[in-house]
Amino acid sequence: MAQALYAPAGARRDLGVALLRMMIRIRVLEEGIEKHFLAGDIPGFAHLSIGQEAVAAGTCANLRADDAIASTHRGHGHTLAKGTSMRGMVAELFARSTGVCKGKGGSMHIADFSVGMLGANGVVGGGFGLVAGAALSAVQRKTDQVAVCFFGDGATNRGPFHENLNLCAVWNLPAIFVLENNRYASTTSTAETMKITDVARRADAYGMPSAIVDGFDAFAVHDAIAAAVERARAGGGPTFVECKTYRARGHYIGDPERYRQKSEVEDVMHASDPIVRMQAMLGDALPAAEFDALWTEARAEFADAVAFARSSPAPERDEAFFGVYSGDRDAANPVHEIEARERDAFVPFAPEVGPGSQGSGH
Amino acid sequence: MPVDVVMPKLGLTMASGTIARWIKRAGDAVREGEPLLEVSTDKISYEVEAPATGTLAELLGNDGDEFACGAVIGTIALDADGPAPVSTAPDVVDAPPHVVEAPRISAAGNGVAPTASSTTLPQHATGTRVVASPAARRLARERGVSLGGVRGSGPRGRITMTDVPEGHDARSLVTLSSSKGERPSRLPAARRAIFDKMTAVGELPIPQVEHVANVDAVHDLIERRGDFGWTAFAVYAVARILRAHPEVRTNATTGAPFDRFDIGVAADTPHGLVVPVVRNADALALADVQREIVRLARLARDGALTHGDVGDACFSISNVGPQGIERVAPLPDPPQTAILGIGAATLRPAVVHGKLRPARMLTCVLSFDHRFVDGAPAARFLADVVRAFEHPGVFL
Amino acid sequence: MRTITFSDATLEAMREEMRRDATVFLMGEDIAKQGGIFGQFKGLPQEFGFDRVRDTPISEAALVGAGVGAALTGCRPVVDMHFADFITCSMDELVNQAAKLRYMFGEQCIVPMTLRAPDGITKSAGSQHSQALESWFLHTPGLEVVVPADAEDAKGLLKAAIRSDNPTLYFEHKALFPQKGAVPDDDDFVVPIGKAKVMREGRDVAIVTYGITTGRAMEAAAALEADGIEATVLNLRTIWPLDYGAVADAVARTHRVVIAHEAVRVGGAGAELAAWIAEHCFDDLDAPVVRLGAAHVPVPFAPALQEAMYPKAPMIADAARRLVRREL
Repeated sequence: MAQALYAPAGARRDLGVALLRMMIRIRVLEEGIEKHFLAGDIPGFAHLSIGQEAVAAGTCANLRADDAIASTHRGHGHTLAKGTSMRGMVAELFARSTGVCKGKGGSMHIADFSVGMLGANGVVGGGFGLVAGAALSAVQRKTDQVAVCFFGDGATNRGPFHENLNLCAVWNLPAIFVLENNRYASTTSTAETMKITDVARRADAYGMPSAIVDGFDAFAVHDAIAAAVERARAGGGPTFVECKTYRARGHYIGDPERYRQKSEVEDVMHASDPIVRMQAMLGDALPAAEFDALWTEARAEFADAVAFARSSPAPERDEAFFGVYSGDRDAANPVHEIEARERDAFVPFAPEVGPGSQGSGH
Repeated sequence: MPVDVVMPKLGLTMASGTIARWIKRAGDAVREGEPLLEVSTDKISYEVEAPATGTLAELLGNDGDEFACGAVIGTIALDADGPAPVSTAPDVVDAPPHVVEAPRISAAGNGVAPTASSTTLPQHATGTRVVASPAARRLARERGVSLGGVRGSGPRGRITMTDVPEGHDARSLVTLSSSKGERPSRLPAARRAIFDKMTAVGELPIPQVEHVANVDAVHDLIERRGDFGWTAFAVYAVARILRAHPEVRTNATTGAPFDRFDIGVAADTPHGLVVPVVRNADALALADVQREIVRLARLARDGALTHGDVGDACFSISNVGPQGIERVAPLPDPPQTAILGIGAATLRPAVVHGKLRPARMLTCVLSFDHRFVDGAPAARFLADVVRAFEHPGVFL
Repeated sequence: MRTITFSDATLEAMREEMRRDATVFLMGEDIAKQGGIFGQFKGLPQEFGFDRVRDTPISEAALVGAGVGAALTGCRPVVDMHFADFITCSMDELVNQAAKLRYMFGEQCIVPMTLRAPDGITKSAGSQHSQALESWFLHTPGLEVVVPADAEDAKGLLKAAIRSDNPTLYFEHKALFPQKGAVPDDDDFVVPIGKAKVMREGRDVAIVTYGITTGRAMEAAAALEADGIEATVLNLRTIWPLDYGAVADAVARTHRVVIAHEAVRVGGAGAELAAWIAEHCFDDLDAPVVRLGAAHVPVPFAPALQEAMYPKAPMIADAARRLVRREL
């Protein structure tokens, strides 16, 4: 492990500590989610981003709360880094009504619009359009907001990747495309699914400026994104930033990982764990006790989040039937009546009561 | 598989019948064709035969209970079924569900209003499926009529709304008297139908026109020929006179005149009033009318009239002469809209050719439903009847 | 009231809503410079600028995806699909994103996007330019679907769609664009989403319909009148949420119903209504529910073939007549 030649100082040091704190919080969250998923506390699927923390932390440190991000199915790190509370996240994963999506989204669809997080997406490549749109929206409303899309190497083979990069380039939209190239889609490596090695070359095809950075180095990610954000805010259009990184866990929790060797995982993490990297880069600028305290705080935060989730109720049964349309909780809205009838029909079975039956009026 | 005993539909317009009397009791062995129970309607009483041989297992109604036509009123366990559970008509509380649902027809003045449970208004009496549109079924429920026996004019014989018969004859009247009609508690079952009908008729506008006719000529004819009586003469004359007086033979159900000349003749029997009908009376010779009246009277006395012998008349005659009474003003028998009452031909003071002398006088009263018949047409009709009585040679 | 074309009615709606709300903007293929292939956008870029009326590349997924993203972040985009058939190129964006985000995210956002889709059979456009796909979206929880039948609907429903906070599909039949109709003068005139309109009342049979088939149903009703048959014509206007109450009233009054639309009959919107009527209006029915729709074939090119496979006025009148005569 390389030591920094000299420890950063002042604002740079503070940035480094902030990035490290965020990465440690992400790591603690992800390891905790892994443990609770395997214990049966979390329904559905969960996709861990252990190893990729530097990309989330380094990117989001540049963004305001009113800048938008769109994330992937592997979005816990992005969500936390953009400013969502651990309590809201853990409660959501535990399917509680106090979750940030009221228990209706779960891990793959976690979102927090209060901090500009436009959602993790269950569709690979689902975020490209949303970010293009958020960027277009900023232009329409004449603000200097920017929109950031996180995505993986697998998504770059989908149609919407190409359509949206092209659109953002030709319309000069304030969008930033942050590729977490972790070398594997689900079970297929990049070598199997594309001819090129540096996906940033695809940005060239659309006339979009790009950068390739070491995705394990939070400072490097931070600096590249800072430049992209500045360009975007100034009306200079979109940027593509490829972060070379790696996921230390399987595609999903429970993945048997037959597509790679365990030794590969160990080697990469040994050489490149972003937390260890940052700790090394900070060197003496971060005393060991402070480093340990970051972990302790993060663990306490997570434990509190779990306790909060555990003590929160599951969503009310009626919640299944409402919240689809804006205004559908208003009895005067035509959709409300339809949804209420649906709710009443499932009791365990009651034919929907409605206008026309027994001659009743609407 | 037990065989159902159902309330028979004894005529096109019959909607319900009353169990007058179970002849067999629960647990009795019965043979197919053997009389099982007596059913009465507003027109007649009728013996219902057992549809199968076996044991009368269940009675689903007691003496005096009314059921819609086609309703199951009992079951016969076939011998092959082995011992069947025996039960008399149970209390509602103990009844298995299909008993509770057998429609009871409320007589509370609103005619044959079905209860909520009569949504299971049963199928065709023979057990084959009635094909009817949902709306037709609902309409039938509302009208309290059975669809059994109704011919559908829809595709493949489907009964549609326009095929659903109008309600029970009495219903069109009974709708007028919704506040009345609580039957006295000890009213015999056999009198229920007439009670209801007269309660309803009582609401109608029934004026009368009257004339006392000099019937010496008919009296002499009767004495001389000996092959007809007063009632026969009245039927014979009225049937022919009615041809020219369509208003007086208006059908209250349709509002149009009856086009057949079937004349009802009120008859007093040990079982109460019945009104057998002389069919096509306008085509019968006087002696044949007499024979028919005699035949019907005998059947009536014996309680042996069939449903074809009663009902669907266009006009009726009530004669209280046999009782020696001079005048009767009867009420029309719906859906007929007029009725002639005649009394005994008795010697009374009369003015003949300006001189006072005794003569055989017959009081004729025509009662009529003023919703359909006005005074003048009624009077014109009665005038023609009187002329027939006073100058019988015209007809013979 | 003024009489204007359907196309001009949509144009008026766009203009009024873009004047009223600066966050409304329009994008699609071949709309800004060309003014739309039916002239339905002409003059808009000149008034509002080419930033608010944008021609996009041929990128339906980006078009609809960006529409959703803009709707999530404070704008009211109107996205034009050019032909409804091309919605298929953006199904994920519409079905997995637009329809579901509000619900999945626990109501944190709204998606006030309007998606305009010229649809329907006309002029031998062939099978890939002639479809009517509204039943797919009635089947997708989270979307609103409206189908105008005439100029009044065109204007009022488009304004309602733009003002709605929900993602709304607006299917405008290509053959209706030149059709003239009366439109109220009030520039706040909005046709409420979810409310059907009784076009004419009659006791004998109800024809439940929408879109271009409404006009055909009215023709059928006029022909039926000559036969002494009085038909109710109910123009649904909105396919989701359906005005079930209006349908129930029509069935209760007439006891016989024909449902007619140009979309494929199998699994069409009429199928949902027919099943619902059987469940909820059973006792009102004096005859089976009849559905008319296009045959279950792709729309053919040759005019003789094209004209043979979807319901028009004579077919609607015939079905209604046979119902009333109790032949069905």
